[in-house]
Amino acid sequence: MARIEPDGADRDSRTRDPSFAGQRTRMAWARTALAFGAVGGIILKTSVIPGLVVLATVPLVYVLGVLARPDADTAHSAGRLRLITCTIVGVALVALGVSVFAPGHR
Amino acid sequence: MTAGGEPEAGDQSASGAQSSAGDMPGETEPDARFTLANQRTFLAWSRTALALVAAGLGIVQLLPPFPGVPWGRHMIGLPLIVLGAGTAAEAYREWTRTQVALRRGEPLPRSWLPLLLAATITIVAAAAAAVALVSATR
Repeated sequence: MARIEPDGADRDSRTRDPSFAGQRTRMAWARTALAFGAVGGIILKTSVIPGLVVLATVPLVYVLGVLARPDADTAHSAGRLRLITCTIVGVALVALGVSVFAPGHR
Repeated sequence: MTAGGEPEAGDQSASGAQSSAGDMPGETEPDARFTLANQRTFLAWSRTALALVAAGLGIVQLLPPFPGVPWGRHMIGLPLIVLGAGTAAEAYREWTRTQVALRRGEPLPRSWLPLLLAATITIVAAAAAAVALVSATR
């Protein structure tokens, strides 16, 4: 059972994982969610609805990565990563559509 | 394992590789740190893919047009967006291949993503230089 210190830190889990792999992975998921937000912001500047759709993926990606169990095994990870891949391909298709059809800088 | 706590390749038998019900014969679930490191690599490539999409979109939508070259922005930006989608798909394929190699204790597969990325960015940069030159001479 994990030993919780007075400051709230879980010392035992640090001892089990001195490289903080789980924490670094959660931060990587958070950065990925922010990257979706950046793309959504650029799309929003020229096309409101597609931009809002892409921005809506930000909390989903965050929940998918940061709040999900960080030490998930291969089968659990595969589904999440496939979903992220499909989302990025979808965002790229939206970006292509916006690039071709939306009026840009004149 | 390294001094920083990172597991090394081939270290999985000593650091917690375990069998699970869904394992194929000859495969074991690798150490969680290997799985997480592989996942972080996938996420880093995903962010690269999103950055390529953002760059392509920014070039097409936010840059002013090149004088005398009306198709210049699309010629530079659209390949970057397509490369972003391709990078995401290839990153997932590489994650799968790496995870299988980890589960079997085999050498990690070679990654083609850096070569693909470097080659495409070089070609797009050359195209951008050509567009800028043509625009400047008109």
